[in-house]
Amino acid sequence: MTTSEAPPRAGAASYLEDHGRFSGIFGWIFSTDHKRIGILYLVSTLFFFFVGMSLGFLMRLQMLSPHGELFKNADYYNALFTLHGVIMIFLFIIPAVPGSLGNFFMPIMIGAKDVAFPRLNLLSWWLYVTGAVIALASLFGSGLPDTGWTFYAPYSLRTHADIPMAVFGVFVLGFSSILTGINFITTMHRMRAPGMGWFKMPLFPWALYATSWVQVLATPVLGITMLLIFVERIFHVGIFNPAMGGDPLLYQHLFWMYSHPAVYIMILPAMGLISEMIPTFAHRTIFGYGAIVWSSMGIALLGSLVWAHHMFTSGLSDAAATVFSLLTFLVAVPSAIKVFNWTATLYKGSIALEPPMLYALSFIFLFSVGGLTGLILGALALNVMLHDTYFVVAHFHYVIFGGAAFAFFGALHYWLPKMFGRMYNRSAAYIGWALLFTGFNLLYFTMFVLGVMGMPRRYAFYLPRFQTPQVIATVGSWIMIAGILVVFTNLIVSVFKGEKAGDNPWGGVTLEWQIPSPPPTENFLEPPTIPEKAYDFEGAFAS
Amino acid sequence: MAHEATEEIHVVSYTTYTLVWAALVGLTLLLSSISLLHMGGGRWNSLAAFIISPLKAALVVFFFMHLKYEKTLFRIMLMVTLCIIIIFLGLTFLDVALR
Amino acid sequence: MSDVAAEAGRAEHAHEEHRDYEGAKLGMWLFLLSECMLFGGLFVLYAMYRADHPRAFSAGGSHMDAILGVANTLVLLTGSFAVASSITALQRGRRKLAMGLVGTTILTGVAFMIVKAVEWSGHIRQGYFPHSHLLQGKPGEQLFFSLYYVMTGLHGLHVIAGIAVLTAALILMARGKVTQEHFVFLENAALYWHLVDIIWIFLLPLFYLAA
Repeated sequence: MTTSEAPPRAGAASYLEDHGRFSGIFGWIFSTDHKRIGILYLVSTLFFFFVGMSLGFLMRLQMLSPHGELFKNADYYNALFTLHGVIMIFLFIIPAVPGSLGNFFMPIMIGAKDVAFPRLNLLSWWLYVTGAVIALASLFGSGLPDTGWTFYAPYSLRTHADIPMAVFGVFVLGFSSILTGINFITTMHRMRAPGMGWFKMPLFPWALYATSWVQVLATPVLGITMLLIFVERIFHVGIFNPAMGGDPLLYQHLFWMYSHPAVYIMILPAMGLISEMIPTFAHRTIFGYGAIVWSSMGIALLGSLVWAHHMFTSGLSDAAATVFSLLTFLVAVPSAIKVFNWTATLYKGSIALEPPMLYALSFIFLFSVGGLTGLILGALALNVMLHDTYFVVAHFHYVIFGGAAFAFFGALHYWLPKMFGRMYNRSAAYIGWALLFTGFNLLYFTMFVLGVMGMPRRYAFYLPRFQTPQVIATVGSWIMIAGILVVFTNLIVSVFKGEKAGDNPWGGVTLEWQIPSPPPTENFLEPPTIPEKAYDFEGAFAS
Repeated sequence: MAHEATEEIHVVSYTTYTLVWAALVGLTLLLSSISLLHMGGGRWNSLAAFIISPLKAALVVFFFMHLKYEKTLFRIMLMVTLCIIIIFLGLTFLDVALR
Repeated sequence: MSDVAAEAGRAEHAHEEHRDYEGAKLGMWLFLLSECMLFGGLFVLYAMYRADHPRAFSAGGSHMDAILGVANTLVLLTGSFAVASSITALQRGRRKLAMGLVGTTILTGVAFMIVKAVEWSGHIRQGYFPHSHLLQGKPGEQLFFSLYYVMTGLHGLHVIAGIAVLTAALILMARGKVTQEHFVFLENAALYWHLVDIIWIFLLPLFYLAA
C-alpha cells in the first residue's frame, strides 16, 4: 500500500520511517509491507521464546533435587513441560525463521518488491496472534494442561485440562503456517526479478521453498487431527477413543505425519541461513550449490515419510517398524550432504570469525551431534532402550536449539545491520555466544548421559543416583540463559543505539547487500543487477 | 490491465462442459446401479468405486478446473499431493494390517 | 538472456496495482492441495478402520439412504457444471448469464444442504449417532457413524464456505469488480466449489454405497 500523499519518490524512504496509511503501532500491525510483517513476527516469536525459556528455567530448577526443588505436586511439572513444548514449538520455532527472516529477506533476495499476497501475509500474522491467544486462553479453563505438546489420545480425551481450546488454538496456528507457505511458493514462482533464474536464487530462498511445501502439504494433517480431538471432546463422537472402537495408535500416526515433517519446517530454513553465512564469511563461493538445493528438496520429501519412528515402542507392526527405521537412515543422507558442502566451502576460504560465523560453525557441530544421535534413536533395538528418556530430549534440543535456534540467532547477528542499519557491540556478541555455547553443551550433553543412565523424560521426581548429572545440567541452563540475556540485550540496545552500519558490512554478494540499510519500502530503487551466479565472490572481487 | 491480456486465456466451450456434465451424471448412475442392484453379487462394488470415482474426479479436475489447459507445474503439484496421500495410506496400512 | 525474454510478461513493478492472474490461480491451487491433505487425513482413517471392521462398515452402509446420496451427487455435479459455464459466459462478455449461472450454483448448494439436514435428522431420529443405544457394543458401526458425521459435516462446512465465496463473486460481478477482463476471483471461487464437488464424489461410495 502506498501513502495517500505520495512523497517525491514513492517508496524511497526506509521502511522504518514509511508507516503507510496508519501511524504509531497501527502503522505496524496493519502494515502489508513484508519487512514490517517480518519485524512483527520477529518481536512476537522472540516474546514467546522468552516465555518458553522461563518455563524451561523452572523445569531445570525442579530437577535440582530428587524430590523436586520447586513443587511436591507433579501436576505443576506436567503443566510446565506441556507449556514449554507447545510454546517453543508452535509459537516460536515453527514460525520464527520463515515468519521473521523469511518474510523480511526472501523477497529482497529474489529481487521482488513484496510477497505475492501482501494482505494474506498480514492475515497470517493475525492468525498467528489469534491462535496464540486461543492456545494460551486454555490455561484459564478447567485445569492445568498436562498432556505434553503431543496431545496423545486417549489421555487428551479425558483429562480435565481445557484440551478443546488448546487444540483449536493449534489449528488456527497451523492455518497461519499454511498461508505463509502458499504465499512464499507463489512469490518464488511469480515474483523473481527478470534474470533471477531458479538456479541463481540464493540458498535461503531455496530452503524456504522446500519448507513451504512441507507447510502446505503436512500442516493440514495436523489441522484435521486437532479438529478430530476437538470434535471428540465436544460432540462425543468416537474416532480415537478405544472405548468406542477407536485406535489411539492412529492418532499417533496422524499426529506424527505432520509433526515429524514439522521438524524439517524448523531445521530447513535454518540450514538455508547457514548456507548464506558460510560463503559470506569464508569469502568463497558455496561448494556444491546444486547439491544443497536438491538435498533441501530431498529432505522435504524423505522427511515426510519417517513419522512412525516416534512410535517404535507403541506396538507398531514389525514390518512397519523396519521400513520406518530404514527410511530414517535414508533421510540422514541429504542432511550429511549439506554438512559436507558447508565444510568443503570453508576449505581454502579466507575465514573471518565474525559473530555470525561463530554461530554458523557451532551449528555445524551441534547439528552433527543432534543428527548422529538421531540415527542412534532410529535404530530399532537401541530405540527400545532410549525411548522416552532424556536421550531423546537431548537429541531434539541439539537439533532444534543447537541447530535451528543457533542458526536463527546467528542470522540475527548477520542481518541486524541490514534490518536496522546499525551494528551491535562485537565484544558483547562474542561473550554472549561463548556463554550460550558452553551452557548449551553442559545442559544438553549431560542429558545424553542421563538418558543412557535411564532417566525418563517428563518425570517430576527421580532416583537419587541421577542427582549429580541433574545438577550439572541445571547449572548449564543458568550459564545458557545468562548467554541468551547477554545476546539479546546487546542486539536490542544496538537496534536503538548501535553505531551506523554501512550498506554491506560483511562484503556479502546476495541482493540484499546491494540496497541501503535499512531497506527502502520499495526494496529496490532501481532494478537490481542479478549476478551471473549465486555467491559469485570471484566476480565481486574482480570488479 | 495489459498484464492479463498478454496471458493466453483458454475459453472452454459450453459444449465441452455439457459433455463432461453428461459423462459425470452417467458415471454416477452407473456406479450407483452397480452397487445398489448388487450386479455380479456385490463383488464388483468396491472395484467399481475404485475405478469410477477417480475417473469422475479426473473429469472435474481436467475440464471444470481447467487443468488440461494449465501449465505443467499445476499437474506436477497435483501429482505430488496425490502420491503423498497414497504413500501415507500405504505406510499406515503397513502397520495396521500387519500388527 | 532467454530468461529475460521469458520473464518479460511478468509483473510490472511500475504499476501501482499489482495484478498477477497466474499467481492468483497458483495460490488458489496450493490452498486446494492443502485442503486435499486435510481430507486426506480423514480418508486414511476411514481406510484403516474399514480394513479393521469390513462387516460393520457394510452394515453401517445399509442404514444409509443411497437414493438421497445419489440425488445429492447429481445436484452438486449440476452446480459445478453451472459455475464452470459461468466463467465461459463472463469471458465472452455475457455478464447477466454468468451471474444467473453462479446464482444457480448457489441454489444447488442450498438444496444440497437441505437434503443433508433431512438426512442427518433422519439418522438421529432413528437412533444412529455416536453413543446411541442402537450402537452400544458395536464398535465398528460406532466408528462408521462417527466418521460419517465428521466427514460429511466437514464437507458441509466447506459447502457453506463455498456458498459464501460464490455469493461474494456474485456481488463483485454486480458491482463491476469482477469483469470480462478481471475474472480471476470468479475462477478461484469456482475452483473451490469444484474441490467441494470432488470430495463428495469420493464420499458417495465410501458411505452411501458401502453396503
